[in-house]
Amino acid sequence: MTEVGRVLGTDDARPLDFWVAVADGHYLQLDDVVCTSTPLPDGTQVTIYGVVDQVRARYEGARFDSDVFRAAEGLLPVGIASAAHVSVTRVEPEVFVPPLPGRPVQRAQGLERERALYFDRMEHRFPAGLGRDGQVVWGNLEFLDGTRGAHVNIAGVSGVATKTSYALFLLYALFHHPQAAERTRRARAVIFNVKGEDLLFLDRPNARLGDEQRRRYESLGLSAQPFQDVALWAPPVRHGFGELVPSTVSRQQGVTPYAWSLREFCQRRLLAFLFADGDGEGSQLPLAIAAAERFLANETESQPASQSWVMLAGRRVTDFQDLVDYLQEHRDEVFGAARVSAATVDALLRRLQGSVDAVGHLIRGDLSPEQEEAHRIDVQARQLNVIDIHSLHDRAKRFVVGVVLKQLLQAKDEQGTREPLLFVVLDELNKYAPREGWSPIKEVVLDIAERGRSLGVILIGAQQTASEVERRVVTNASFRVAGRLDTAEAERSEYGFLGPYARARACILKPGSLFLHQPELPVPLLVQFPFPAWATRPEEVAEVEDPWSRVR
Amino acid sequence: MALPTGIRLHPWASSYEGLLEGADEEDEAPGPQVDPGVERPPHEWCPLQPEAPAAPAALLFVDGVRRIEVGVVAQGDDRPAWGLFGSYGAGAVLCRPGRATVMVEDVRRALVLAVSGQQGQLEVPAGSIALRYWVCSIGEGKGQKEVRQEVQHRMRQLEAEVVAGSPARLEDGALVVVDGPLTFLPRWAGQAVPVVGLVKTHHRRYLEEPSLSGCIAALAPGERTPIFLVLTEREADRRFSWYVRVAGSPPLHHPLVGIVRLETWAQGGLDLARRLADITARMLPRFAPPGAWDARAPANLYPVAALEERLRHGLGDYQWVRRSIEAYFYRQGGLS
Repeated sequence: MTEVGRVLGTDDARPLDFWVAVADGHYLQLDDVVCTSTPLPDGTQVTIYGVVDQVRARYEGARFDSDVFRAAEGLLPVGIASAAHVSVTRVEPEVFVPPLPGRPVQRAQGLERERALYFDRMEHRFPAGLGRDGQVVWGNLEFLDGTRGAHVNIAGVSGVATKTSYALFLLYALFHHPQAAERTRRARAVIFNVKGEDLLFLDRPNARLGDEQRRRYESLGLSAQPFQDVALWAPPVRHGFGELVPSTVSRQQGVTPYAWSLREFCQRRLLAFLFADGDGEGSQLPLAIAAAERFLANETESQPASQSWVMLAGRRVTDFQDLVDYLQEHRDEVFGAARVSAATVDALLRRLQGSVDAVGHLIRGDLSPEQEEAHRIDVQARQLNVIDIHSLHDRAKRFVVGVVLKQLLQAKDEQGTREPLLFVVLDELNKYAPREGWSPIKEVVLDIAERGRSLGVILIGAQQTASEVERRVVTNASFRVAGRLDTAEAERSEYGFLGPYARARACILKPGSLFLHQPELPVPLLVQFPFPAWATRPEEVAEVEDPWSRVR
Repeated sequence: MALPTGIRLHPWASSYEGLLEGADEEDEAPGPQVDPGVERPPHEWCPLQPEAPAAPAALLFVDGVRRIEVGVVAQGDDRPAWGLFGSYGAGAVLCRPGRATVMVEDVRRALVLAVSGQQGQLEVPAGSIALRYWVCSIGEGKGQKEVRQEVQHRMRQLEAEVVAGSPARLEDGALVVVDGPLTFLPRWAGQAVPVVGLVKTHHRRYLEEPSLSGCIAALAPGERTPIFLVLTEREADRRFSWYVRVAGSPPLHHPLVGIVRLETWAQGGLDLARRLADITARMLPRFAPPGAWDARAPANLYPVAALEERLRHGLGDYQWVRRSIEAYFYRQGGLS
């Protein structure tokens, strides 16, 4: 171990933080891992590990700020003192005494680094990224897979390529790293594509991946490959005939259109998810929604799975517009039993009418039994399931997300075991689980956050501003990640885990860098993750070159 | 060695914080005889703009500090023998264009006793280290003043060692500036390099004649007076001296504020003295701090003030050292 300095005696050394005077010819930088030891009177050596979170240098012997000019002219002799502040991560044995001033401080390497960051205690672990020293930062798998904790929450401003990229990197590491893969072999993941058609190429190699980035994958113990086992789901083209065609532009091959049958919509009570925009709890609307759902479910209870349309009181309803019309025409039968005002029913019908355009092509009565089977989102077939919702109307987005999550949770509920795990990547949590208001989709997200740990549904949630997300969703996450943050946002209490120094740094983080906080470590660690090995947009897809193309 | 028997603390004898200041020159003492006509006839005295001699590549400022930790008294047969625990240090700052570096720092400690025949060293435990006091007996019957002067003398000796050791550290053409008059500096110290003494205080009046002393007050920053010869009984002790204004006198201040007196041994010859006078007049004003920087500004030059601070720091925390000595006495308890 290299000695880099000694514990400073001119600032208080405390059991949880101390200053190190950096020796001549050495340096300590932010995020360096150090250790020192201090003797007890009985001869026991207490080893203290920590991470550098602040460094400073100053003149000694200068009295005024302007003395710097005198020193530069050679008029005033001054000394330079460098010091680094260390936040203690671990004390072994656990005797909380301050390191004594003057004790030598070493850079923690190898096993000492593992100890300092608790990696040695992690029985099952996954690579969470690279530290700034180029070495692996491990995450404790037991705090992710539900054994002792679950869920990841990622915060960061958009456009810095952090949230989704890191979520994908995590999935890649979880699925492909030998130490993690043995636990995730049968796991599945669902990710919603909300921006462009970015995630439709995860199974293609990235043409812009350089050798340096490949080496970073190597240091992580990963191969630089695209995702191997990917299913792509997209909404169908709106006004198509016959076979459903995916509405995606840049890629059609291998993309499966998804849709629900009207029958399933009625039987499984999915109507509420059309109203997932956070209605006030005081409103009567939920009552009216429940009444309509009950009516539709009762009417279609015994209808065979072979038909995708529904028969309502002898009338054959074959598309969503029909269904809405039916409800409008028979409002007294549908809502009669519920004590809701005419105005509330009007509001409900108005909204339903308004969503016909948005979801009419997703809720269909024209599917054959084979089609219904083929276009139902099934996440079990492939490891990674990308569900494209980027082109959908906002109302339809919420519907798809809400229904998919609800159905996944139901399936896990029925299955009753934690394994195999199901990872759900959901960006824009502030939209789906806002701090204020109630909605069916928020209920599902909360359900995942609170029961997901025991059900084996792991939420990798992301949002720009954690302060706008339901508190319980954020606090249930064992892993807290912060990319670049807005300055004002970083000051909020949701980011208390960052501590004062990381908070300030969070405002200047570069793409590909973020702070990771995990349960065992009292300080956040700066981690970096490599450039995606998979294409994240059409231009990045590495074409397999046709050897004849140049000849022709 | 053990503490000499019969020694008791007498804390009231040491001055505040143990610092000795201004002991270099006698207060208001009449000056020695001078010859003001060595460079110019007295009636032609006026402020001189220095010529532009080849500036030395570096200036080496040498200074020392001293401190009385605690006074002691040994109860002799009939009358008390005074003594003290003192610390002193000396060092040097090398100033080159663009870089000032502390070259030497040396701190020593002494237990001075007005007795005969005691010697050796005393180790006083003080926290992580033991302070080592050399016992020096200056002879029976000496008063408190002589005891204190012994510390001063030893500091000067140490300064002389720094000056004597300096040529090894200096390139050609460097000039050594010693803080204080050269009177106290042993002659062997300055054999190999040009040395000037810099006197900040003006307790002693060298130039009584109004026309001459008026010339001092009339100096503008960067100007000097003509050189005068300080006459002493011994030929070898004679020095050439001159005044330089290093900074303008601030409003409401005595006109001598900002004036320093410099001297060099006459043995070196008038030409060398003239060169040194011009060099100091040209270079020293750059080292003069503004009033707010230091209580003794502007005459307490940057490198000297910084060195003093560092050396004082090197003497150790006064309260701590003093408490350690007292604790040492208590632990020796039964000594009779």
